[in-house]
Amino acid sequence: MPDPILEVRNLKKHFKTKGGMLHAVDGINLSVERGRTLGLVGESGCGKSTVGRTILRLIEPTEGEILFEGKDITKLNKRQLKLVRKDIQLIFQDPYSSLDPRKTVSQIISEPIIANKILKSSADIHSRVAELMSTVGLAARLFNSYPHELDGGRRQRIGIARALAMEPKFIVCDEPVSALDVSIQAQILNLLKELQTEFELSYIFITHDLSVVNHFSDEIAVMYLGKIVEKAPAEELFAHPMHPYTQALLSAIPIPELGVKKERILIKGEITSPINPPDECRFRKRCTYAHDKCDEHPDLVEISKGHFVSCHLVEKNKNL
Amino acid sequence: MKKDLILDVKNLVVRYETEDGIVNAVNGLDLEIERGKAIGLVGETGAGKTTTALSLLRLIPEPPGVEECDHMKLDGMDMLSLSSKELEEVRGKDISMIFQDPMTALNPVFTVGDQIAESIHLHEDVSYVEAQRRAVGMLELVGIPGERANEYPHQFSGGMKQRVVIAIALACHPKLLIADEPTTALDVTIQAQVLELMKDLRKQYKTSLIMITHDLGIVADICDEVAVMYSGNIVEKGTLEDVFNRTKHPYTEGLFNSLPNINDRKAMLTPIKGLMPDPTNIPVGCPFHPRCPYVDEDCKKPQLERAISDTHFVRCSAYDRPGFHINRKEK
Repeated sequence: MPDPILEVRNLKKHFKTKGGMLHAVDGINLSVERGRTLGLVGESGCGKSTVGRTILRLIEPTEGEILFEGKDITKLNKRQLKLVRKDIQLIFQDPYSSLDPRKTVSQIISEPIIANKILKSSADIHSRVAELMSTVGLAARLFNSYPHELDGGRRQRIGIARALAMEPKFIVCDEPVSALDVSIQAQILNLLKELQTEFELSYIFITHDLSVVNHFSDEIAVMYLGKIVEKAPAEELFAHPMHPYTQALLSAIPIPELGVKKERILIKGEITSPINPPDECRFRKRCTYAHDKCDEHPDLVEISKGHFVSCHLVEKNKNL
Repeated sequence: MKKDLILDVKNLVVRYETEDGIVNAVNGLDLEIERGKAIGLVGETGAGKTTTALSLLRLIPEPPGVEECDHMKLDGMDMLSLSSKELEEVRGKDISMIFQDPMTALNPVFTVGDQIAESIHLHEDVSYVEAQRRAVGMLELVGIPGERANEYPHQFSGGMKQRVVIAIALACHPKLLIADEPTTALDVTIQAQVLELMKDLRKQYKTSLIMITHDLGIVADICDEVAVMYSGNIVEKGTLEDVFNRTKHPYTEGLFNSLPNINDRKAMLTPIKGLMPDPTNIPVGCPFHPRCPYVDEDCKKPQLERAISDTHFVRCSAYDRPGFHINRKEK
């Protein structure tokens, strides 16, 4: 029985720019099951971070519905929204710029607790912060340290502790490990997984790193220029990528093993401009298989259980 | 048999003497590269990879930098004895560098054509018009239409800018090219394009290459040899097969275990515990010993480089213990 904690329906975000309308997110549908992780992958400029921020209404959507536990949060007023935001938290990409340099570790972590009047007495707040710090593996001696005294991995742990302070049900992780070294990246990924089991968290995990998303997600959605081009359970997506873009993306991952020389599918050209895009397949200009029919935007259709693809060729011929 | 070395560095030490203490960035590094070979210099932030590269170009700012070295020879030429004027002639001609961030490596107020031509005009005895003509050729070589030579960097995307940087670096056919994380700022599909381009150009010009990266996947893709750096020194060095399939150093093992395995998504990541040491306060003996799962008392003594085979070297005293091996299986 599916039990989605979050459902996004026909979400659009268009920004007005000098050059015209920038279609950052252009009609996407997503759902995240309780306690599961949805990976959102794509290259810079594909709209993945905009999706993450729109879900928290840090950016107002142009169109569409965002149902969190059945409630449409696009229709909430300011006060109602503040209540929902306790349940939905965000972990930022850059642990350097997302922490206030003039606040100590304990001040940063306690800020949401105080702002939302969760705990009143300073002794309670103090013990809650200490508890959160030990949950994310920060030594108690760092209580009064400032962010600049700490390395990237520890700073990211502060960001995670701050997100956990509200006991959220849902966390949007926007490239949480991209700024970290591999050995530290593995520590943070393991921590996020442990926290998921411990607190039954649901995640949207936004990243450009395909090996990380494969390791971390239950389901993966691949974005290209504001649209989802393919969506499938992680194993299925890596075993049978159907969309030409997904195939090229997967073949471009450098694999740290010898003797796995595989045919690399090179995509010609660069990502096209999202300003006033024509109503055709967004990948058409770079696609090796492009043909006449591609001037019409393909729908996202289910080709096998849980595997959705948006490509005219896939319907016709199952193996590209 | 005497090896044909393009680069031969012995006992390189670089430190920065700052008010807050002495930062020991590179600590007695030896590096030999055979002509035409590509070596990957792998390690995490603060391992000293970029400092090593800058030092080879003699670009360490002094002060606060202090550079010491037994010898540093580029194709037999003693780099230490050159005057700053002579160094200017060597840089860009015999040895050149591709920087990590293509967004800041280019000058925003000159056209890309001018920036490529500048290098040719400086180093070769050609007229400016001829240099311009060759610049257009270089652009085409890296896959950018020649008519775009009159455009400015902001008119290019990130991947294109990195191609321009590569064109500048290769304009005078250097003997040794140092690429410092050339694709880190790029998207994966663009990274794939740039890596393919570098592979092709290397075949064409037989340039020797030092590829600085933190990505073992890139090393597996384009290098012949690997040197793993930790805390200012090389801890393991060998051919790709040596280091990837017959890993010896515990730190190299830790790096491999930290990477998500694309073929086995359920496998748990085993991160290296702890953090990189502070370069102002490097642990005595093996710098990795406080984080190493195989540590014993001998690890606090100075570590010598030992040969596992003709091509494979490791700096780890654990191999003195009878029957010692790390957990990672040989392939």
